[in-house]
Amino acid sequence: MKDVKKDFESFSSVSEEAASSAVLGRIKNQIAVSAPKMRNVAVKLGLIHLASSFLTLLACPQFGLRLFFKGHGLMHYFMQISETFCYAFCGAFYLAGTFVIARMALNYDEWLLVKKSRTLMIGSVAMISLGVFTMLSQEMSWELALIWLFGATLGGEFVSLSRNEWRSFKENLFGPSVK
Amino acid sequence: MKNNLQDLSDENLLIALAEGDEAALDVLYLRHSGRVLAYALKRGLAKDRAEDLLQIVFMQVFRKKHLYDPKHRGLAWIYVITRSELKDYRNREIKDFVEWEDSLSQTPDNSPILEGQVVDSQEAEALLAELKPREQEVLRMKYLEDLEYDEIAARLNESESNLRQIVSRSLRFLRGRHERR
Repeated sequence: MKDVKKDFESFSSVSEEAASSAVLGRIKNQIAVSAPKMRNVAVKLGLIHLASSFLTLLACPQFGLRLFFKGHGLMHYFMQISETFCYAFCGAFYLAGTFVIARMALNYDEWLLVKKSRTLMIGSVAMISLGVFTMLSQEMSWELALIWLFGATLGGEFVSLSRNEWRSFKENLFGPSVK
Repeated sequence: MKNNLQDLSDENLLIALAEGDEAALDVLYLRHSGRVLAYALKRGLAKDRAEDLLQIVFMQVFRKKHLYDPKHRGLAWIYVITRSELKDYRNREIKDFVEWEDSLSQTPDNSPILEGQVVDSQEAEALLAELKPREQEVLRMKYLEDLEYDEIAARLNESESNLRQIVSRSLRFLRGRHERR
């Protein structure tokens, strides 16, 4: 243990010029070659969204659409607060599910790619879903769709926040935490 | 953003890298590549191999970016990766070297072989021609003239460890060429 400490001290005490930029170039090339492709990540996210939709519709109906159960599921509890809250929360629940599963299923670099273009990703997934619901549901209206979209966007955004972004968000909201 | 990165601490640079800002790796490289290279050179690696290791270390810093815990110093994180990669690098080299030494010792005429294939002296010369003159000389003495490292070291006025590195590197190069064929 003492040797490691000494070794680290000798490592940190060195003040050498930066090494050749050619090595950095090779590192950059290697990173570029192994970087995930946007198209592949979008396809994976689409598949994850399909699976997540299946699971979500088992518990919470979206615009009256549900799978393998009768009644209102989670909607019953949301409706007790208000209809507006219910649709917003259904949207949030629906999209948050997709992005929570994506966070677990994608590798870290793929997830970073989703995050980098998350406005586009969340918007696309939400709009495509809304389109499908409009085609299949009798309950759809502009007002409800907008409320649902608002909730879905918020849900997607919240679960995509990194630890650091969460910390900044909380600090902006409540001020810096005192340790 | 790039200008701001220069002002960040190593810890914040590693956090930025983990959040997808690849430019943070450039700044970390500028700050610490000299240190990593000096560490490798100080531990006996030749310059080209030390640069190999440098590349591996910063690739690992990039690949393991999400594992960095900001509770620890950024420099300590880079040191741990450097130390561990140096150890792995050496182990791989020793393994390669021992495998080659084993395969060479099993040949009846002590000439270089590739994947168990006996190569006659003409083929050996053809293989050697692919190497640099210094490497050819060392391999010729080692495998065609059957000299020991201390004898080669005395003749060429080189250290034994350096000769072992030359032999290991040359064999790895030849094996790579052979595998590509």
